[in-house]
Amino acid sequence: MAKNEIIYVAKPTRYTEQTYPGHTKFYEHFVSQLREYHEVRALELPDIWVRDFLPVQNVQTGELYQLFFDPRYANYTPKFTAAIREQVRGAFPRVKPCNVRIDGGNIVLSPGKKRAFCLEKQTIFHKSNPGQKEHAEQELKRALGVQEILWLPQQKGDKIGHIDGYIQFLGDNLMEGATNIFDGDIALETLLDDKSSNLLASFHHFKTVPLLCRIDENNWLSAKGLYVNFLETSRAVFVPQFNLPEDDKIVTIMKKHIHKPLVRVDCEQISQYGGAVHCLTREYERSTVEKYF
Amino acid sequence: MQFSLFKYFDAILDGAEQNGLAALEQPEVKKALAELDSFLPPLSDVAKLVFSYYYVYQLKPQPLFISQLEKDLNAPTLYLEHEKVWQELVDLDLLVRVMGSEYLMPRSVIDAVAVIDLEYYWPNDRVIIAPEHKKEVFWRWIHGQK
Repeated sequence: MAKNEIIYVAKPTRYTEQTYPGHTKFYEHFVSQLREYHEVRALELPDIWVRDFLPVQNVQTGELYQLFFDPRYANYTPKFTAAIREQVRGAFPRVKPCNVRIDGGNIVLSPGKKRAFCLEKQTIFHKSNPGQKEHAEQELKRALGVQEILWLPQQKGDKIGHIDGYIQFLGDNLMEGATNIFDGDIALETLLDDKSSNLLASFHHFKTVPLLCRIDENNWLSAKGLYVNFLETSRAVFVPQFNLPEDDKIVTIMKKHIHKPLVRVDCEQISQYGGAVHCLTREYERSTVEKYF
Repeated sequence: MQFSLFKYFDAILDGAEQNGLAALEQPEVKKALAELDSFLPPLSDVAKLVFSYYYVYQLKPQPLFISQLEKDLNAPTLYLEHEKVWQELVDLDLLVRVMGSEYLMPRSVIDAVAVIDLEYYWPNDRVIIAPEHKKEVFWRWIHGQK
């Protein structure tokens, strides 16, 4: 885990407030919580889900690489996407290119940061073309500084394809989103399909902890109840809360697996627009990020 | 929109929204239309305008209303007078005819444009797709590499 991170978020503007009503109020409280542990930098951007479009940081060199952000879901029209790219390029003029079309939310790093987990999408590479897959893997390894890229199948019915809505690591534990759990830690049904869960298990040797997620299957965009979208930094864990009965239970489960302060972040309203704490932040190691400005 | 292919689509559509088909003769619109030639198969200017409209405004895999297209492009008889343009796009697999005058742009075409768009995000940094390969790359993505 990077030490002494600077956390980047999107500053509320009249436009973001129009698009995501309640963002200004959320931001004020959330940033005050983040500032208790880290320096926070707010960028004026057209969109708030900075995880997806701000540059990624190479875990070996600290260099910043810009992935190609070009989604086509929710409110991402070509015009909106172009405006986001323009603003990000202005904010980070000296980043290096990474020629892979992938959202940052579709990358989760393993403890030790040797591996990156991603969901397969046809927009990243065609399954029928091994050359494209190899190219995407080489580019991602170069940008992220990891040794291996592990692809999980795209999940049926998932229109977004962000792996940080399914799994994340907390310390050395793999937190796997589950829609039902029994007696604390026993998963009955994980968010990932069986094939993906088995594939994931074969990839890693970490302890898997089912993390209850109370999702609305009729609203594919909403991230309300998606507790797995937390943010772990070197100093704290920021846990989304949704004003659901499961809020306390999640904190109790996570406390068993990490000895860091757990900060509850009220995401009840903001999560309905498509993300939670992890999606709303991008962390960089302080010692290496300054030269990019 | 310095770092996006969108600037060309925007110039074409913006011109048409203000001046209808007459915009196709404006220098800035002609320049944008010529830029699309770098990856599209040979198309008439009207076909490139229609292609631009579907690429930018079709956000779901559902046909767009021709009446709305004609209204937005300030060309009230566009389909009546240029129906063959839609057929031209269908013949090149750039649009799919659903029924009657209902057409949609396949997802593979939208994704293929994104692959070309990557080039515009890194101006002057390095050549990602050599100019002479852009048409081939675009065609291969449309056809799923099969």
